[in-house]
Amino acid sequence: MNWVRERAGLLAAVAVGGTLIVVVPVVAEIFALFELTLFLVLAILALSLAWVWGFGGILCFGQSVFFGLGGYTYAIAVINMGDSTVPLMLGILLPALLAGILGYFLFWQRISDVYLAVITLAVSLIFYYLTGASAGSEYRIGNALLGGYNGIPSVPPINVPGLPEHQVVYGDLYVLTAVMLAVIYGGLRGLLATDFGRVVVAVRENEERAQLLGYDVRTTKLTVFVIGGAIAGLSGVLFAAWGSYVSPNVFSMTFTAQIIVWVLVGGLGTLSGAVVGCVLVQAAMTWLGEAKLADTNLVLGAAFVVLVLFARRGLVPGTRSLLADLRGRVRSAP
Amino acid sequence: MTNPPLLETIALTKRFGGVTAIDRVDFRVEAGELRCLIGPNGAGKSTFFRCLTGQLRPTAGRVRFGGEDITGAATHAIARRGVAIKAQIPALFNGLSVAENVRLATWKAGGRAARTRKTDEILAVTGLSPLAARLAGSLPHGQRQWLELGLVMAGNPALMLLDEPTAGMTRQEVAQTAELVRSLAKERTVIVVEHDLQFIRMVAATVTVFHQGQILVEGPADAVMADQRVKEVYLGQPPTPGAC
Repeated sequence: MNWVRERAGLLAAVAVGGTLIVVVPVVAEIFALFELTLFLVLAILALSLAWVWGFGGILCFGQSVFFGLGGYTYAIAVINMGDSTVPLMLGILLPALLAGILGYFLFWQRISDVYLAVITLAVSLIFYYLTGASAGSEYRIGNALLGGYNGIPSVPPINVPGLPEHQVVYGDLYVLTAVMLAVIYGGLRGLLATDFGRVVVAVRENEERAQLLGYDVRTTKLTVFVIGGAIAGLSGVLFAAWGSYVSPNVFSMTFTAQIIVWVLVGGLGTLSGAVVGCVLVQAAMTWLGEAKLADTNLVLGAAFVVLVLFARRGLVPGTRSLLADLRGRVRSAP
Repeated sequence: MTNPPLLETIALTKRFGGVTAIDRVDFRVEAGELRCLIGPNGAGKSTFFRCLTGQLRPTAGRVRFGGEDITGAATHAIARRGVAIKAQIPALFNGLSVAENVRLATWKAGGRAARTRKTDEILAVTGLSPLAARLAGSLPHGQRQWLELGLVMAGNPALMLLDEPTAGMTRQEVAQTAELVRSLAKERTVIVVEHDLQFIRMVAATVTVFHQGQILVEGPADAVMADQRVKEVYLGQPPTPGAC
C-alpha cells in the first residue's frame, strides 16, 4: 500500500501515458484525434516552460521564440530537402543554439528575473515583426517563400527517416506526438532525480547559497535553458508538420502569454501540471470557440481570475493537497 | 623560509558610491588559526567577508588565498578552492528537505555512497537527524543556524568564515557552538564575526577589531578588551543620547 502511495504520481503518469498512446488512437474519431494531436504538441511546449520556469527558476516570457524558430526552421528546411529527418533535427538544434547564445548573455550578465522576462518577450516580438516583414518574392530561402504575415503554407509532413513517401500523418502523427510527450516527460523526471537535477532545483531555491557551495550557477542555468529551448523547438517542428503551416503568430504576444497561462493553471513547479493545464485550457478554448456562447478570451480571463483566487498554486498542487486533506479526514474519522 | 599566510588582504578597499565600507585593510591569518572579528555595527565586517568570498568585487586591493591571488574570482570558484561562509542571516534551500540541503553541500565527498555517509555524519553532528525529512523553510531560527553551519562543514573547507553564528541562540546553544567552533578550528582556519563576549572568551582566540572600515587593534582577547581605544569605540561606549 505504501509502495503505491509513494509512487502514486508516477503510476498515474504511466496510466495516463499508456491510455493516450495505446487506447485513444483506437477509440477516437479521426477528427478528434487530429485535434488532440495539437493539444499534445502544445503540451510539449508547456512542459518546456514548466521545466525552465518551474524548476530552473528562469522567468522566460518568450518561450514562444524557440517554438516558432523550430517551426520555421523545419518548414524552410523540409521544403528545400524533401526528406524530413534532417529538418526535424535542425528544428531542435537551431532553437537550442539560440537559447545557448541568449542564455550566455542573460546569465553571464546576471540579468535578474523581471528583466529576463522582458528581454525574452522582446526577442519573441522581434521575431514576430521580422517574419511579418518578409512578404514578397525576394524573401525566400531556397524554394521556401517566407510569406510575411501570411506565413508558409504547404509544409510537407514528417516522414519515416529515408522514406519520403511514408508520411507520418493523422493517427500516426498522433502516436508519434504522444510518444514524444511521454519520453520528454519521463526524461525530465529522470533528470530531476539525478545530482544535476538536484542542483537545478537548489539554484532555483537559493542562487547565492548554491554559488557559495561551489556550484557554477551560470552553466547550470544555461544548461536548463538550452534543454528547454530544444524541447520547445521540437514542439514547434511538430506544430508546423501537424498543420502544414507556420506563420508569425507563433511569435505573437497572445501566444507566448498562453504558454504562461497553461503552466500557471496546471501549477508552477510541477511537470504534470503543465500538461494538464495546457490540454484543459486548449480544450476549453476550442469548445468555447465552436459553441460561440461568449467571447473566448473573456471567459478564459474570468476563469483565470477565479483560479488565482481559489487555487493559487494551480490545479495539480491544489488537487494534491485536497486529496491529502481528505485522506487525513478519513483516517481520523471513527 | 616561512610559509605564506593562508589568507592575506593587501590594502583591500570597497566603496559603495561615496561610502567607503572597507578602507585599505591589510589582514592576514595563518593556517590553523582561529580568529575573531569584532566591531560596532557598520564597521565593515560583513562587507569584508563578502569581499573574501567573491560575493562583492573589491574596489581596490588584493585578496590572496593559499599564496594565490583570488581577487575578483567568481564566488563558486573561490568556494571550490576551499573557502566557505555561514552568512549572517542563514541562506538555505528553503523548498528542499534538511537532508537534501546537506547532501548538496557534500559533492567533495565523492560518489553516492560517500555522499550519503557524509550527509548522515553532518546531520548527526548538528543534531538535525530527527528533522532530516523536514523542509528547511519550516525550521525555527536556531535550527536554521545549525543547518547552515552543517552546510559549511560538509564541504570540509580550508577556511571557514562564520558571520555571527550565535545570533538568536540561547546561552546554552552559544556554549555548544563555541565548543563546535573550537573543534572545527583544530583541522582548519576559522574566522568568526561575533558580538557575544562570552563566546569570544570561550574560544579564546586572537581578536581583530574593525572600526569604520579599518583595523583598529589586533591581539589576544584579553589585551584587546582592555585596550582603551576599543572600549571607546565599542565595548565601553556610553549609550548614544536619544537611543534606548
